[in-house]
Amino acid sequence: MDNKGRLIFIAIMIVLLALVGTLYFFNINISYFQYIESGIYNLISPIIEFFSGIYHETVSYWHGLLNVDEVMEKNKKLEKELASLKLQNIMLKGFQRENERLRKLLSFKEHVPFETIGGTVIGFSPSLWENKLIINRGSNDGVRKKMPVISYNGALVGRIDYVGSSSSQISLIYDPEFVVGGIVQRNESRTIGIVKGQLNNDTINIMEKISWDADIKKGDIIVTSGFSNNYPKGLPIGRVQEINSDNYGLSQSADIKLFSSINTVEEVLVITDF
Amino acid sequence: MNRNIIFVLILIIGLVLQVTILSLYTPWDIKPDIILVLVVVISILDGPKTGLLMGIIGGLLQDIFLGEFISINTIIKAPLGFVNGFMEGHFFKGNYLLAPVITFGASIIYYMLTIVLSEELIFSINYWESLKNTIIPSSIYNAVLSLIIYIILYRLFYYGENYYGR
Repeated sequence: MDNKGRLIFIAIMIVLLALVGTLYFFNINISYFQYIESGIYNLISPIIEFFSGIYHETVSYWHGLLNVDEVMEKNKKLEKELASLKLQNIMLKGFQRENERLRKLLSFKEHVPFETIGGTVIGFSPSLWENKLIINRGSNDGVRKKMPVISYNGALVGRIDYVGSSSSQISLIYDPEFVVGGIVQRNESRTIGIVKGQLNNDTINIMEKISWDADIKKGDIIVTSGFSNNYPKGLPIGRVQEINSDNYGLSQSADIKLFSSINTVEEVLVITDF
Repeated sequence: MNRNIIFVLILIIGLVLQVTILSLYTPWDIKPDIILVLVVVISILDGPKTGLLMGIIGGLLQDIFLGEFISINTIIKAPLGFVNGFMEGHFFKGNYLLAPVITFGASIIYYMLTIVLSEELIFSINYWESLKNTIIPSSIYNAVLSLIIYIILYRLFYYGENYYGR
């Protein structure tokens, strides 16, 4: 490239960059761009799913092959556990029937469990600062933006942030941008606060805006308060690990050890009927 | 096949690796940015035009998988690829140590710019802690990856061009 050509090229690039910067800093959305975005996303995400599938299959195959004794022992243990859980289940069904009957007698509202879709984790965020998961369920499966996501043990994992046709991205609970209303599960307390993610910390969230005289102590379980319309009430978040004075003693904050260990999560449930 | 098309395919493979293996296996909790490494290496090897193009495409791919189309990665990676491209022609391509040194510097600049340009991070981040625990380790990881990628790409596409420029 000669000098003149190079200068023109640099000038065009600076103008283009300024345009792109304006789009970003002023949050301008151009609908035409969204078609391109979802097109590229839907084209690449099946490749990620395919590759991730092969990777997980290979890892679990080798793990099984190298640890046959351990797997067999675990199998025996799980069979025993299953048998005792089956028994427990039969008893619980009895309690459930009794509970339903009593609820009807007292004309209580019927307790309806959430409708959920199971999804497999196929990838993680490609950025150092943002914490996201990619799962293999998308708009074709009924997933919509802002739906809450829980792990198989019921703990809150995050919420749906972006939906493609057959995969979607979850913004995780420990992302600094993630905010959810929390409440102490103890009946005599019911203290409320705001649970936030922290940068570079994937196990501990911080609960802020707790009143200075609130009844909260180490070991308390924090669940979603359900005050906002984004999350149902009662989803477990974590356990109080430490309580600190905040705002020069005008309020308190608490370190919450999260229940869901995201790095090891392989499957999640998306709550679809909330 | 056109070299640029091959580079785009390499960027897609890089993205797939980034969201799967490189995010699953994070030694000492360090995560690299393979798209950044690819953009830097390609720009050193092929000049500012290709560097810019790959910066735009790589940044867009990464932004799409963060739920936004044109966002911070496109804005930073495009000029970074472009500026790095001016190195092409000024260094001996057979010197493999060039790539890790430039990638290390480019990574530090890239991570610092990501913090400064995002409103969620600029006021909430602890700069010293992030530099010590995240930015420098990740930049070293990127530099190591760049050495491997540089050798592969150089041997595949630029082996004859042993001397300054083309």
